[in-house]
Amino acid sequence: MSVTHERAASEIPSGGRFRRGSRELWALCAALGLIAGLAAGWLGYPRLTSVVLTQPIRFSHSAHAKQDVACRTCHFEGPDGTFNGFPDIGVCASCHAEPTGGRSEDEKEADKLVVEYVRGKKAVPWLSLARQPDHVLFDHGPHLRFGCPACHPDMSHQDYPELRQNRVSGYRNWTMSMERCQTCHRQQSASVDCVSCHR
Amino acid sequence: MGFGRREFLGISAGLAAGLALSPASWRLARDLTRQSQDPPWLASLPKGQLLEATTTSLACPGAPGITVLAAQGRPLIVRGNPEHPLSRGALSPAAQAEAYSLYHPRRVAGPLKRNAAGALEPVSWAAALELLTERLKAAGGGVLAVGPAREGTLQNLLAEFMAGFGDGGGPGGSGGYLRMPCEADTARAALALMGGAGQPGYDLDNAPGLVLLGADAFDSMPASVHFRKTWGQKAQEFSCFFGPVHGASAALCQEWLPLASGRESHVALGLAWHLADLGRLGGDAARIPDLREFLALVRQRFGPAEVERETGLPPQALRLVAMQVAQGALAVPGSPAGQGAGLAPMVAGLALSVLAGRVNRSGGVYLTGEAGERAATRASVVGLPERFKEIALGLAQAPEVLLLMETDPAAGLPCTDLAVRAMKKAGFRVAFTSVLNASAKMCDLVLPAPMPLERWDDVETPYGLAFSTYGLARPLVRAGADARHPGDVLLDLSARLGRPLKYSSFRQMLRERVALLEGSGGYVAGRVAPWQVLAGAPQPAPEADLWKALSEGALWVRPEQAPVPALSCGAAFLAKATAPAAIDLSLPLTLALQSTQRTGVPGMGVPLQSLTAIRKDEARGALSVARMNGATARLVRVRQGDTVRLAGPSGRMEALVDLDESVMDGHVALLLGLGQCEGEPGGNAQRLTATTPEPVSGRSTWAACRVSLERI
Repeated sequence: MSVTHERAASEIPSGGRFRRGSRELWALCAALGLIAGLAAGWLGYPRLTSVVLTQPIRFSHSAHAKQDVACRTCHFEGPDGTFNGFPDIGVCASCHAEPTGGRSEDEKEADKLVVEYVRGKKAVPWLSLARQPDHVLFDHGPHLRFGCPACHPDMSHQDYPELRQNRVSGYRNWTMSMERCQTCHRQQSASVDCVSCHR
Repeated sequence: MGFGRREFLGISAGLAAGLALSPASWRLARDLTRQSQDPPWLASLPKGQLLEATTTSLACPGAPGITVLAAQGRPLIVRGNPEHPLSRGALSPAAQAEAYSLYHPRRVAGPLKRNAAGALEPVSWAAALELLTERLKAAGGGVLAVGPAREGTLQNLLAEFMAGFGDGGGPGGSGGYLRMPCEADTARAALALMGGAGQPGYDLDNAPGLVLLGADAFDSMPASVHFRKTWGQKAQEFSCFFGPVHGASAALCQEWLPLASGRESHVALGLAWHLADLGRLGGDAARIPDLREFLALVRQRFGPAEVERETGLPPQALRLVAMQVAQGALAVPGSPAGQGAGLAPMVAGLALSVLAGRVNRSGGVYLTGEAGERAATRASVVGLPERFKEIALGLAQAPEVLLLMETDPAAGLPCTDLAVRAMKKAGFRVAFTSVLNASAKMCDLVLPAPMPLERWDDVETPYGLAFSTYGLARPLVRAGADARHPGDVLLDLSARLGRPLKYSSFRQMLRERVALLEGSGGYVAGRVAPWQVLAGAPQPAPEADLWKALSEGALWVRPEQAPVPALSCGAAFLAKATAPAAIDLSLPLTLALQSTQRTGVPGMGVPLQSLTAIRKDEARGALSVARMNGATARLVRVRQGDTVRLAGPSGRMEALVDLDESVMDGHVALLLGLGQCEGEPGGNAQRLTATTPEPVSGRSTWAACRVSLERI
């Protein structure tokens, strides 16, 4: 019998069982794999699939609220209550026509708005927090009576809400899920037919 | 102790178990599902402030008021303007498609010139205009221009431009200005024959009842947007439709009385017989110059028995309708396809209103004056189908230069094969167009025009309205192509040809037109609607700044109650024009052409937003659907779903058979507007049509063409 055959024979577990050292190593590997799997699933996947988005201008809602700028100065609604998009640069320019020259973070952001957008008459590419996917039709009109924070982040508590977007689905962390819509619709006895919200 | 295969398997098993115990797999599945629900081709909502602007639709012949929703200068949606007095929030498919059409796949991006290899290649505006000027100078009087059917300042300008080339449109001449055929021109000619002037309009708003003598008042008629809105609120009033197919107009009426194509004048004159028999002639019937001759004609040739023999309609039915006419029901003559009926049905229908004393009376027929000069009055007396037929057959000289002003005769004219042959004979073909249609593809020079929503333009009294109207369309977006307004191009060409017109730009021309309207007795419709004025309400004062009001989408109106000269009933004409005609027995079926705004007027193509609304009983793929009833199908031995070849006197096409009991015996119904360009659904039914000259008037008629059918 050759040396190789002798070694192989000595590693064969007797009675169908591994040797003690080998079994412990296997268990250790399995445990490590389990931990790695759990970490990848719970922590890695969300980080891998989401990207943090930054608004082109670090707009402070509270700074504007303190100066009694009403929400509807910038967030328009159509005549029938429908959402009317983001404010035109002209709306911003009505207050921010000239740079402040200040050194605070807010003042620097205001100057950035003037220099990059107001003077260039360029629309600010604002990022929508609660952006819904394109196959969803959300009419603001019937929902206004529930108040904006029912669906949107409450800007009285979160001045700069974190905005993340899923790389796979394109959904954002503030995008409303269908379950949430359905729950509310059922509570209000509103329609839950597909065509009520989807196209 | 080393790291071997078992250890690797241990790690893998642990990893798999760990992933399985985490939500990663479920989240991945959820994300992939969400991604599949939101494909990249799905249109994204625009960013930026949404703005609404009101204007008048230029694409729709009915000129409804529209509200355009735009974001960052891009029009998104066209909606009906509820404040507009005509449409009151209603919208037609053509008007609705104005936003989509800006991104038309066949849009002409810049001037195109045919090269030596025969292909169209881009060329600069300067070179294009230089070439066209050179060709126009060389052509002398041999310039023929074809304008669209609708009225407007652009058409007036084209007529004025063509006047500079002399009277090339006379008999035997190769030039002149011609218009695409339309029912409005036929109605005006009928009115002129009866001793009237202007355009007949129908006061549905005040009418206590309605008798549609073939007229497609609720679909293809330009005023249909207003008529639908009006009559939709009058469901209890008496209304009946005479025609071969139960279409959109019949659907809004209480009664459908099946009537063979080409028999409209028989019914109108049969109703006149009953009216006379009932002794219910209008109070001013004695003023009718040819009353005696007319009554003699209807008593001699259009008695109940004769009309029943010709139309199959029982005398009792006609008597009931005649009683409604006597009580004030409004008779509207026309043809189900809105074209090709000839003068006789129009004269006979108008004569019925004259006899009943319903002319220029509330709820009757009004003779609308002109909001300004009409291009139609300057068009050649010879119609376009006749002229093209003569050119194609070598009976008339082909033009040196053929100008096509936003028209598509190669697809929209009857007997399209002859029209194409005529166009090919022209020495140099030029198209002013925004999309590369069938005619533009044949042209040597294509000059892109801005789309509606990109240009200033105007629209005048859509045919059918009982009052004059004028509306302005204004540009809401910058042109999406290297396009120039055809009006500005014509002014430029006039200057290059050495006979400049007195306008600096087309917009200035519009301003002068509006200035003329200010003193012409109309007002901007608002609280008081024009039909209320016709019914006796006082007319409001004119607007102070008419240009501003019109450019914001308002409508200028002028209801006219002026007394008109006594109209004749056209007895001498009708006696000859309604003589029995020979029937070609080798062509057993009558073609019932149907025109609907959903599939576009002939020569326009299907509005983009309607492409997905073409039903299976209208077209399947490149084949049109030929609808006929079961009795007709048995007669020609075809069944549901058969593919058949339809053949007319000068063209043929394939179609699928669909059995439909809303088509009367002996008729095969085909939808117009389909198959006008490669890739569009259906086939062009105009290929089957053939024009025949109407007795006395000599006008081309094609509303009751005969066809044969064989299964393939």
